[in-house]
Amino acid sequence: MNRQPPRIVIRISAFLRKEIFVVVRQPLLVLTLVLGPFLILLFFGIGYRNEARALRTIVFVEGNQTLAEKIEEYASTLGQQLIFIGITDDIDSARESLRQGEIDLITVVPADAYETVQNNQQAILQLYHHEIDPLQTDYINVFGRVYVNEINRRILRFVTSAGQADISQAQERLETAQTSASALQGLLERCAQVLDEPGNEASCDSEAAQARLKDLDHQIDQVDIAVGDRLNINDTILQALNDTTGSESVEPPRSRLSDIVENTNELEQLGETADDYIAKLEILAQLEVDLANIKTRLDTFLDIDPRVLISPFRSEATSIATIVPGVAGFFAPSVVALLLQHLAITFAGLSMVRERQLGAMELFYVSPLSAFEALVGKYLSYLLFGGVLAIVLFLLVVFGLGTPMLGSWFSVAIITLGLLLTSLGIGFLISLVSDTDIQAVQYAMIVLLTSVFFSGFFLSLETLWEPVRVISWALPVTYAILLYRDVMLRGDPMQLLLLAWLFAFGSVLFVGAWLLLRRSMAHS
Amino acid sequence: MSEAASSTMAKPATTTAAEIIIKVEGLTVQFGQEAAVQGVTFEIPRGSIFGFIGPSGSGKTTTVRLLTGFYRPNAGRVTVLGLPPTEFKQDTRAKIGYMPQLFALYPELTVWENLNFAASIYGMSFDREERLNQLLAFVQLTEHKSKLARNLSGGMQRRLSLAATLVHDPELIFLDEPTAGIDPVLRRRLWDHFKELQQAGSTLFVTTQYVGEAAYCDYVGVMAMGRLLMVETPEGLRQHAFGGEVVDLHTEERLTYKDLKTLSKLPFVTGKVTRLNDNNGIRLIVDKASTAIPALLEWCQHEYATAKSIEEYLPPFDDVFVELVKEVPTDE
Repeated sequence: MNRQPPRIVIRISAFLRKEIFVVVRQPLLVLTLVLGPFLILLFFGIGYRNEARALRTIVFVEGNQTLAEKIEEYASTLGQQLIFIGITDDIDSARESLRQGEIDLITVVPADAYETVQNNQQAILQLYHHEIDPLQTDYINVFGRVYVNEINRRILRFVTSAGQADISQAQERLETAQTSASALQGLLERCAQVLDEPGNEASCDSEAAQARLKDLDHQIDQVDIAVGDRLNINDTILQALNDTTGSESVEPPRSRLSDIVENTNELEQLGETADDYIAKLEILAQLEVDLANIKTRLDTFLDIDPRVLISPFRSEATSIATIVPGVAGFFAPSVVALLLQHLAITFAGLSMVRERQLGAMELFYVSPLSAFEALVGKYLSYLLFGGVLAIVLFLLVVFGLGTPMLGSWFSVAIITLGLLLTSLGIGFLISLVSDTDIQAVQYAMIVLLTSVFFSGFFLSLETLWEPVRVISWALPVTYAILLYRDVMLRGDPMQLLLLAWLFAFGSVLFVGAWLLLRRSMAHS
Repeated sequence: MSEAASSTMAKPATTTAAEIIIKVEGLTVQFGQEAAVQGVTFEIPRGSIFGFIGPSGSGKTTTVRLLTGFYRPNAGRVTVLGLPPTEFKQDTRAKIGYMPQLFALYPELTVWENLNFAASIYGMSFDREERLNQLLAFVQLTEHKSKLARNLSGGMQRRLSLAATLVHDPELIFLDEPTAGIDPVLRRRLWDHFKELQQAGSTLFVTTQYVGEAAYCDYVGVMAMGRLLMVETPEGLRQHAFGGEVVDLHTEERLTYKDLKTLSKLPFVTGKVTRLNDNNGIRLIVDKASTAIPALLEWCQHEYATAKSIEEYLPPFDDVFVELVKEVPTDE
């Protein structure tokens, strides 16, 4: 005897087949559902340039030709995001150009910048724009800060370079002083030998030594003038750098220029005895060490590039994630999630409304069909259809667009099941509270719009105020986006808690939809 | 208040309590302040065709929905297949077939798929191909079984709806205006189908706006303004509407006013005597045409009038309905 399945299975199968036939009979709809998101992602991937926006900028300078030339020189080379259009002294026509969209920015340079700084105040570069988009306004603010920093750095670099040039000249005088000290040392050593050993044939030329001593004194004065406080500034910069970086290198004792001058003064009166000369030689030896020390410090200062001196640090970010996908790759799982949610909500949302408009609900009521059987049949049909669509979409984005798939396909399938189940619940609830298909479509669109803003689709959840995130967690797509990204792009296992919430949410919605449909089918 | 206006009606004389499949007593339903059905009472014997006739908005569909349990009554009692419709279980529902007024099947599905869907929601086993083919043949849609329902003509859609209604071989069939918007030939064919169903043992409750279709029914309920004016056999309706049977008499000579007065006083003449448009003809309402006709011929002979023709006239049900509705009291 041919065994037949239970009647509940037969009744559920009625909807399974009917809904699939209804969808399959609309090939254009199916094609749009598959190709639509694929093409959106493809064109987005092709079209999106991961570069900061370049701003067409006019600089307004009022009656200061020298400053204008300097600004022009700076503005043309500040960076790619500043497209320098020119300098103007007509602010009204510049504003008109801004209003007409011919330029993006006016930078007003204060004519009295030098005086302002001299008065211990920062000179302000005023930026005018015509944006109403808060994100673009923020971008211009950041743009202004970045470019003013760059200008400040350039000024500092200029000052540092000038300081290094001066020190370079001082270094020449230092070398001359070292030569004089070396020559003086020879003369003093001979005199010490003559006085210490009377039979020694060497001669002591005290006059020459005296003259060399005067010459050395002069050279040291020149060094003092040339180096002056710069040596202290140099030392301060290097010391600050040392402190900031927390370097543990031990600096040798630093010679002070004042000590050298003092030592030179002590050399001025040459004595009569060998001991006098020996004492002078010791002082001279110390002087030579001090000069060498200072020379080393100046060399160090000169060896550091001014750009490094004024900006000792820069950042380089490196992700420890397995891969960093491109923009299209990053958004692909989210687009698929959003589309699957919208599809499930729209299909389910229209489903019961359509049955009601068609008059089929009346037929269902008179028949032995139960609300549970009708709902399960519809769930299964849309789960099947959504599942097939998800497979096609994921295959297209992974193998067609090169979106990474680091995790398991099984995990993606489980997440998709949870997403579709929960989205269908929302859709059926919409369907059961809507009187017309237009109303159902409107509700579905509201859910879509909410999802775009609150699901973390393009604005990270962390940017939302915590109480508002309740809305995010009421959307299946929020869970799906997080889970898909973890699995596909990070290669992590599924977050089971998140998945459990998604399924629990879907189950609650199913029960809600079932109760509503039961009430709707019970009587009118 | 007249008997008709009371909206209550004794069950037809031929029925017995054991055969009653639908019993309705004082059924009333209101939508807001407006009463859609008021105090309707009737009984329907098993195996009959019950025609529910009335103009659009008279409460026919509302009554059907009350009988299927889709609406709950505000007052009154309904028993269908021995149970109040609101207490139907799955097995009771499986005995009922319902064809709604509008085409409630799926335009994107083929004729076969729609029928298959209907069979599935009634839980019919998957070995149903023979039954479906049989039904398609019954409604003459076999050649169109692969056609999408949206591509069917209005008549074909009605027949498909009928097939879907009959798919599970129901005992009791509610057909809500099955012939609305259909040409007379197809209407006649559908009524032939209904007769076949009746012969197969089904009970049919058929609503219609076409008063003429009353002739196909065993019993007819006449609805107007939410009230059931009466339940009668088709012949009973005619008699009720005109106060007796109608006889047309044509004579060679024009009868005088005095003759008409004399005729109206004859004992078997129960209603008005009126002239027909052709001057030499008159129409009489008599208690029974079969006995009145020989008596009238005798009267002609006695009065020296030459009878050219005399016959019983069966007024169209449209006229019957108009006469009956004249008796409906207004809301005032």
